[in-house]
Amino acid sequence: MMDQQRWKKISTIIDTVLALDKNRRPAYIKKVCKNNQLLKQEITDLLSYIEKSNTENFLEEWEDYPHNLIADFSQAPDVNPTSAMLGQAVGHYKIKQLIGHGGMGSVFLAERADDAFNRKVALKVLRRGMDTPSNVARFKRERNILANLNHPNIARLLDGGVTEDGLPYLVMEYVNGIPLLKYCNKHQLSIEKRLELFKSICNAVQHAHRNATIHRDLKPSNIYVTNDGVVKVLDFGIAKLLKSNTTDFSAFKTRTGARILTLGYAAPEQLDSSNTITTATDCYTLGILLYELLAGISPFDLKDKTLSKIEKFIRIRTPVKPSTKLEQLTKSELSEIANQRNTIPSAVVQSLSDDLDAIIMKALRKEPDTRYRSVDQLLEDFNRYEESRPLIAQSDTLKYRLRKFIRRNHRVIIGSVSILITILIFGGYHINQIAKERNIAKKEAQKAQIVKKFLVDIYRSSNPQSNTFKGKDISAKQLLLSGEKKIGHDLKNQPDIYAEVLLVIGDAFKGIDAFEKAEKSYRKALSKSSETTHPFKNKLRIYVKLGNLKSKWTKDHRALQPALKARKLLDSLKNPPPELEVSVFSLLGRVNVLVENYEQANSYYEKADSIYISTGMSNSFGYIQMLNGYGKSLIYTSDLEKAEQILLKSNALHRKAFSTPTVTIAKNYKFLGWVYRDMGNFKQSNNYFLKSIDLDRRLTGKESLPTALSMYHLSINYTLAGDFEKAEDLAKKVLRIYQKLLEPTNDYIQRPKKYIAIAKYNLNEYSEAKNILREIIKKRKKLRGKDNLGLAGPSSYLAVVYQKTGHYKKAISLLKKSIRIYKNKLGEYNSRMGRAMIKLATVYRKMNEYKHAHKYLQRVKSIHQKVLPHGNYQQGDFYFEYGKLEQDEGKPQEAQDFFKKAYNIYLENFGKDSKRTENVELYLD
Amino acid sequence: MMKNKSEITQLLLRVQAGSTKAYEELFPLVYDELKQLAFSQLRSEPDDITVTKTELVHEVYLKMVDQTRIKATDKSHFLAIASRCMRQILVDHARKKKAEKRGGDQQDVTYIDELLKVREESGKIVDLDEKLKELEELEKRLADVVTLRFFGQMTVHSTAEALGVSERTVMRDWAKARGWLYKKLKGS
Repeated sequence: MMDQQRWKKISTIIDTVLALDKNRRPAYIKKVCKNNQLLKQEITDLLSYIEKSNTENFLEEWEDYPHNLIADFSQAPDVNPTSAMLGQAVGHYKIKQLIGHGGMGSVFLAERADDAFNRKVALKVLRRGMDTPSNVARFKRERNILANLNHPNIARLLDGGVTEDGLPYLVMEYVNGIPLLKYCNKHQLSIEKRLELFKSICNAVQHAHRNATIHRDLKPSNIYVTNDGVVKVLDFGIAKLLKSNTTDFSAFKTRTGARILTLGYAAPEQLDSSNTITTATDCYTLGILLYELLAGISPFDLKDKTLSKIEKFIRIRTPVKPSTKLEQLTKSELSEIANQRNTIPSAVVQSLSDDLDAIIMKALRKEPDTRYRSVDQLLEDFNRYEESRPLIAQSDTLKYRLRKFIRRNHRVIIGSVSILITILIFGGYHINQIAKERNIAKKEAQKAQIVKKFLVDIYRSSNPQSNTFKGKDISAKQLLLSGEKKIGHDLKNQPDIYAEVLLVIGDAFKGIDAFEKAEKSYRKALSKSSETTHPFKNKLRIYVKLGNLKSKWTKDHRALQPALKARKLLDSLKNPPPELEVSVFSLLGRVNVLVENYEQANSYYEKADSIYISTGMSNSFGYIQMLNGYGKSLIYTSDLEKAEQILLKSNALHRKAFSTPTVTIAKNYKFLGWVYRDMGNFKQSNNYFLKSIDLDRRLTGKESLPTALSMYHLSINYTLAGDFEKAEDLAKKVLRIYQKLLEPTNDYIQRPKKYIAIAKYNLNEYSEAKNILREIIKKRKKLRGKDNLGLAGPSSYLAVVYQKTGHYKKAISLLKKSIRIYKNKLGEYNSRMGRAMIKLATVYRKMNEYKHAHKYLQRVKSIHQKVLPHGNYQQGDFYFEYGKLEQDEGKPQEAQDFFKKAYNIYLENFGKDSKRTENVELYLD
Repeated sequence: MMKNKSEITQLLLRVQAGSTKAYEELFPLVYDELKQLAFSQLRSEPDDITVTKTELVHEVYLKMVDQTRIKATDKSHFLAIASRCMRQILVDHARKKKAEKRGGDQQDVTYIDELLKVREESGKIVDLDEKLKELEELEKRLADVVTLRFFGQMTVHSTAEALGVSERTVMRDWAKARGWLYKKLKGS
């Protein structure tokens, strides 16, 4: 700290310096300071600051003047000219006394001057000095809003106007009562009674919402209770009209009302930059209100905190459950609260625990769309609470927490993997171990970071859908397993959560194709299900999961058992929720397809479809998947047009809902390819198969099951088009993948074999073809019995080989068998049977038994008429065979006719260059 | 208002004549009046940049003093008193605001944005006041100049009159004071 003397010296020197030209200053300073470095330093220093302050107009700018401080000052209570208003007449009313101050104005008790009854009213006047244009506008808006609201629990607007001094005022129903919390404590109202009052408040807010108004400032001091015990909500001062029919106020920029609020009751969205206020905002405040009303304490400790900390709390920190917070109080504090509720301390905690806790916590969630959407929903949960029914609030807590986690790690793409990690975290698995294993730097041990990296690693190095995961990321599985153990230990006493977690673990295992582990988890959950709150519903859910698991895993009748169990449970439920219904029906459809009961499958799918549509769930992912399954089933029953329609619908819904491709749409492409093939539209068919192959490669890798399936279908197309080499090539690839990834008993392995065989016999490699086909038949007979559909195809082809090698009797018997199977499984009129019959006709022709050949061809004709679209390639086959028959019978003219027809059809379907088309061409004259 | 214009004016004239007692009587009157005015002209409408700076002390002047009876120089003296009052009022209020730890009383409606600004301004004003007190110890007139020109928003001319120096002196004082304050408040 400088002394006066020194300063004087400096000051004087500065005076002179300032009077000089800028370029003469340095010299002068040097001169006057002589050898005193310190002095020179100080002079130069001060000079530079003087210049700075000059350039920046320090203390001279408008912004430097503390306007806000002054404005704040002018609102201080001790500056009040309102006392002047007492005794004055305003409109029809005479002001009797001051009731209170608000930020913008004062509220007076007034009486109607000419009223015989001297009716009391509350007169709210905007204060002189606060009558800015925007405040006046706000006042007017309050008047408009209140004029629209007519409800016993909302203080009613009676009149309004402008005083002689030009200040706007409102006349409202005088509420003779005390603030809500005071009232409840004074009368020692029990929790139940408080809840009743709260419901009236909800009704009031509901009414306001229905009239397109959000209150935005619901707090205890705005809610009064009259002596008769009637709740009145006051002060819609900063309420916002949802509809902007405020054209007359559009000229005034509303000081975004959200900034005016009472911090303790502000919803998170009122404090952030997005500032999107909805009815959910009021629901939040109702939540805070409920918290304080029931528990007697506020959810956040905002005392002595800085403004920015307060904002952070409200926006980010999750509040403690009311019951828990109560338990943290001192004995005397809790006694006080219990006393105010006319009960004992333990009872207070008890009555809040679980249900009321859950309702309050749901109302207080940070994200508006996870709270109660509307007061209606909140009131609904109160009803449920009173009827001891499960609450909306409880059902989504686990989902909510998981969702939060997944949202935070938004790089996660594959749901099942993220759930896997969630379990690890949720189950408290030690992050350090993950860090060690992954060689991640210790400083990145922040949970979220580790998890993100871990997820990216997993995603990059593996495909959760394919079994390559098995080889590369054993650790993931192991982690999952040990996580499972720990969870079991931690959640012993919480059957609901434990069961839920087990299901999620099961899903995760299913997602990485660890089917046995998945089943194990599901079954464990099943055993726990009887201890849960809703044993039947949960058992049902689990059976559905088991059914779907088995369907994916074994792809055979073993999926029936859980499906049937699920069905039984569903029938035993009185009012099953539609989500459960559709899951069971979809599963039954899927399982019936697996056991080849296609008609049955279709009827289940139909059922599911109508439920989806009638309950408005037609935008759900489950619906999209169900449609896929339905489409597939319809292909089997030759309902090709309907199949196309359904599959295209699924496709469209998927595109609408998802911007990134999923395995579901890859499946959809496959099925569409299949439909179009059966319809004979090979162009489209190949197009879709190629799409699906490409997609599958991207999603699951070059050597995965889905990719293989797509390639398989494409090989079928090649076969049909006569490109046997291509077909064989592709089919061999498919076979290799299947053999690598599937159990030897899995039927899928037999499929590509068939096409290899077909290719082979078309390339005249008969004995090889014979062997392969025999093998297929043998395997299938063994696994699925003598009459399964899977035998018909290979038998037919084997028959062709026999025919080509002259073993006609064998051929006939095989074909007749196939035809019988087709008829039993797929009905009187199905195209596969038609194809087998054509082959049979060929055999008879070769045996010169023309009558029989004709007979069968006639039947083929009627089948085609019934089930095939015009111009389908199978009709080409028919014509071709017929032509050959006519030719062998010595009717060349008729033969040519048929050949021409066949040629044209093949041309349409396969193009000029196809081997098939060329084959017919050879027969043309 | 306890005293009417003529009485106030009398006081002022006596202050001019050098009466400290008159000064002590006058100061609180001006203080009260300024407060009573509620500073209605300085509401911080964000769009309302039309509000000019100089009206405040002038308004109180107009309210309290009978202009017909005094000279221009007397006016400046009055304005100086009013400026000092302003400083006092603002600093007092700013201190009060700073002492408020919570975000306003939870019961009352508060403007959030303005609250933050108020908080900020309060801090600045209190700091400024403290530094001005330091500056007073070094060279009183410099602090006076700042009080009058900043808190009272007085012109260079009025300031010169009120303090009995030349305008050039006021300019130099203003420059030095600001430089010094800048260093103390914003410097490294």
